[in-house]
Amino acid sequence: MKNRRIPPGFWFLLPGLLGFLLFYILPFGGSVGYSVMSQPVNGKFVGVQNYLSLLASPAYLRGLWNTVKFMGVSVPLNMALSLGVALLIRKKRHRELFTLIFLIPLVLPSGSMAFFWRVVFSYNGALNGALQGLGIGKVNWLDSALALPVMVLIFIWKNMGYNMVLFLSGLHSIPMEYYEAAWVDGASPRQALWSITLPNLAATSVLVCIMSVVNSFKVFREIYLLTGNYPHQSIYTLQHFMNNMFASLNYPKLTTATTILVCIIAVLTQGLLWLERRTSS
Amino acid sequence: MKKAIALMLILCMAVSFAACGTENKPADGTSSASVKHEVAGEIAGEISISCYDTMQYKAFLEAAANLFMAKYPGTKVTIKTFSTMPEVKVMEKDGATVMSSEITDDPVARADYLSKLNTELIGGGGADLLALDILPIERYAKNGQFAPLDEFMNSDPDFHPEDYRQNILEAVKQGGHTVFLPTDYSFNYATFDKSLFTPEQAETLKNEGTFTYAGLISSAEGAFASANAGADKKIRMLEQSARFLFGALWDENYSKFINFADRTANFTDGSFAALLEAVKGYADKGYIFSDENAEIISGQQVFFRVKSDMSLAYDLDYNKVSPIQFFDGGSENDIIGGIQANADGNIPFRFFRGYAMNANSKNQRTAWEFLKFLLSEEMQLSVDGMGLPINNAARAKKAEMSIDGSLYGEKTPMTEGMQNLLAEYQAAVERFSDRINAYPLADSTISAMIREETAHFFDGAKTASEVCEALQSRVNLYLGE
Repeated sequence: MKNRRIPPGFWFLLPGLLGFLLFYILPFGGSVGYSVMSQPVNGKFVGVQNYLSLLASPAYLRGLWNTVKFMGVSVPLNMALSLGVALLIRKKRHRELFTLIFLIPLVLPSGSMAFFWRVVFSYNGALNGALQGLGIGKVNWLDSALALPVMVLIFIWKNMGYNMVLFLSGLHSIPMEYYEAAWVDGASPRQALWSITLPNLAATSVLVCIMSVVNSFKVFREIYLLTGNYPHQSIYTLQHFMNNMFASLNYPKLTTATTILVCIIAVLTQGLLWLERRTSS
Repeated sequence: MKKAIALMLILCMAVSFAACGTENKPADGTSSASVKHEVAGEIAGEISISCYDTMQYKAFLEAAANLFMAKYPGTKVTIKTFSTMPEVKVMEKDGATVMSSEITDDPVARADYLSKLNTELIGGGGADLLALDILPIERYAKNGQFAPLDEFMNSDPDFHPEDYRQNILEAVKQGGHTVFLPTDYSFNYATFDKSLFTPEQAETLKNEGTFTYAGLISSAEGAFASANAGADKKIRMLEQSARFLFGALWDENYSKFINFADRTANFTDGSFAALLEAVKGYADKGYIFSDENAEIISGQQVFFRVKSDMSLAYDLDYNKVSPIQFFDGGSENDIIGGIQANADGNIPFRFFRGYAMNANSKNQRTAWEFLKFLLSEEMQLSVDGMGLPINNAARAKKAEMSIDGSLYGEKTPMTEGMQNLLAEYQAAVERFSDRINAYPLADSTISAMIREETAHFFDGAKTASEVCEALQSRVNLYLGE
């Protein structure tokens, strides 16, 4: 008879696993349950009806599109800029000081940040004051199509330091021998970047990409503090939609949107991890 | 190992799915039978009431709870309020002690309260009765969070709809069902200063018809010009600021701009911009005050005074009790003109206190009884009660108690003049109240957007067309959810 002893590692994993089940899987299961009910109280089973009506909701589709658009712009831009800064400061004398400066936005409370950016970008704010001083008219930064670039700027300002640290760590893990061999062979700095640095940063890039995607969802907090529940249409994200559904007690729409979002994030993360495995091998 | 983890995951999912279904009652006609069963049940156990506004609800509800618990031993009523009480400042001025307090609107506290309440409700809990002070009524009702009260009203042999203002009960129905109940009501009525009009004009205005703000202003433009020709100090049309008047005009014209049935907004066809410009024009011409912070002195002479509460508590002058004094708006020449109607012709009302029953309530029987208690003559005669009582007997009695002073603990014998005043007041209140036929559910989110955006216009930060475009975008987004 086959010995079916439970491996000791299981018992070490068990507390964490139970916590994960209790605080993540169980509520998510409840959430999926609500998404197939007509209403939370005295509701009846409606199958995929909520999913169909959500996919026909203009507000949801706008939120989804804006979130994709925001991610599509801010994640690559943030990665490129943080990699650039990491490459620039990696051999500088005051590297630690630069790193600290870039990390400051990450530890600032969102409320203070929102206050600062409001002072800068509000209609009667500092930036418009400066523009007026230059003889240029005021611009409605937060209540026009310009709101999206403003939000991208805030996202990059906040998250660049974190990504830069990850890239710095990736850069330090590349053996110096690779560069020395390339220089002996007469490689230019650009060739070294393309042929050594970037390929060896593939695994770090995937991690940075995942973290940037996750952080791009968190930008809602700043947008919300700056522009409220119903901002300009160009910066209305999925989180606005879900937050507003919670405020109006529309659980079926809220839970349906959550379920779809979890599926999208799961597929995206799996795709990125697959990419990482492929590049690593 | 993998099999064990998979099995645990499946079990957890199954448990959470099962949890979604067990508490749910059928949404079909069988609920009526369960309500009948509820109404026949025992009045006992604990219930709670959740309110945002501490100042408006706490003392009143605590008094009601004590009376209710004394009437029904074995019950316990808990009042939960959220907002902080305004700070009372005491100072000495000219040898006298002056107390003052400033009531400020705190949007963050409001959002926190709604968030806390929603978290409780989403977990299947929450208070048994919910005060409607800041709740988005339309959305809660649409999502089935309010228990249908008409089922209690129809099943309870002790509840007699004819004891209450039935047009008010009809007006608050949502999709044919009563899901919340106001305990009081009030409406806007206008008085005009007869000394500023010709006798013919005064006769036309005195017909107790309906009015709109725009109608009032256009009817007095000629009289305004002649009364103010060469005068140093202008007599205004209304004692209001531009922003306040815009708010009133917005309420009046709500249905022109918001279509809840189609979930669409209409701010860009020019009529909203025209409304904004018109109000600015009124301020420029001196019809109203242009600045919110201008010294608006109540009681000064104006052409029209729009009053929001036909209540003896506010209007009665005890020193000059006479049949016409309750119409007094600060000037002896003020005469009642009419009741306010919306642009669509409906005559609206508002309420100070209203309640809904949480559909999650585990003690709906006692909650319903408490709600009925709040509607009873006993509670509706409370001196803390605002507006006009919805209970017919209480409304009549409260008027009498206001005039003879017994409401305030100082009863005086009724003179003939006081009797006449009472009769005239009661007749006027009922005459106007009979005409009420609508309760426009002003959506608090849309109202907040309107206030925010139009403030930019009155500040000069945005043009009318910029405000219209911003509102069209934001409100459409909200309605599209």
